[in-house]
Amino acid sequence: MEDPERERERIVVADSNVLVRHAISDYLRHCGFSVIEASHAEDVLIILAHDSELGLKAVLCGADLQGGMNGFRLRASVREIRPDLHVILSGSIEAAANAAAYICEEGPHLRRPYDPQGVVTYIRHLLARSRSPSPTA
Amino acid sequence: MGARSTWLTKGGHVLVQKPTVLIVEDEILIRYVMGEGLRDEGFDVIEASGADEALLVIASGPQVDIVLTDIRMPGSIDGLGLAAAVKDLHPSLPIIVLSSHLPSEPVCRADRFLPKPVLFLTLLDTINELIEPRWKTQKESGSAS
Repeated sequence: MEDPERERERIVVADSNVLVRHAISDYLRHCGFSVIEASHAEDVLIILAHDSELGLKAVLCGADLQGGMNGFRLRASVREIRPDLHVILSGSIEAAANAAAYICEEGPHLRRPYDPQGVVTYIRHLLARSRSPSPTA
Repeated sequence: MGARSTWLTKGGHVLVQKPTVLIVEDEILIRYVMGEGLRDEGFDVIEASGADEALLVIASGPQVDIVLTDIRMPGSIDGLGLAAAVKDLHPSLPIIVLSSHLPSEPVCRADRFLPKPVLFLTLLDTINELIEPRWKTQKESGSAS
C-alpha cells in the first residue's frame, strides 16, 4: 500500500483509548501516512507549536478526549491556530474507523472504491487480535 | 538492520514476524521520534503515554517483546512502578528504563537503565541484545508447534 518514494504526509491521531488509538494509527501508517499519536488535547497543542517543522495535514480526534479539553474544544483551539488544518471529530470506534478510511481515500495509494464497513471490520479485527494472544507466542 | 524473523509453522507456512516494542513515554515528541525510528528499523511499535496505558496494552494481550519506559510520568504509577508491575506479570519480558534522573536506590527491576539523552544506536543495540534470547526461544517454540 505504501510507496517508499513518496514523502509521507503527517497527521495526528488523538484518542484517549490506547487500543483504539493504536489500531487507527497503525491502519493509517499502512496507508502511507506518518502518524503522531496523542492521548489528550494538550499533546495536540504541543505538536501544533512545532507545526512549522512537522507540516501537519490533518487531526483525527475523539470527541470524548480525556483531560482538560474534549475534542470539540480542541477543534475550536486548532481552528484559531491553523484555520486551514482539517480536524475530524469522531464519537465512536466506528466513526473513527470511517474517518480513517476517509483520510486514506485522500491518498493516492488506496484502491477505490473503499468500503467503510470493511475498514470498521479491519479495525475491529486489529482490536480483537490485540486482545488475544499471538498464535505464534 | 531489519528486526524481522521468519520461521515455518506446522502447516508449512512461512510467518514473517517483527518484534513488538512498547514505548511508554509521556512527552509526545520524544515518543513520536523514538517510535518512528524503531519502525524504520523494522519493529512493530505500540505507543503508550503512561504506565496505566501500558498496563492496559499488556493486559489486553498483544504480544509485546520489550518495554521501553521513562521514569517520571503522570498517572497512578511511574516507570519504576511499571517495571515492577510488568515483572510481576511477565518476569521474562525485558524492560529498559530511560531517564535523565538516575534511580537513587537499586529498586529498579528493569533489565537495563539508560540515561537520557540516549544515542539511538545505543538504544537499538540494547533492544537487540535483550530481545534476542526471548525472540530465539519464540522462534524455536514456533517451529516446534
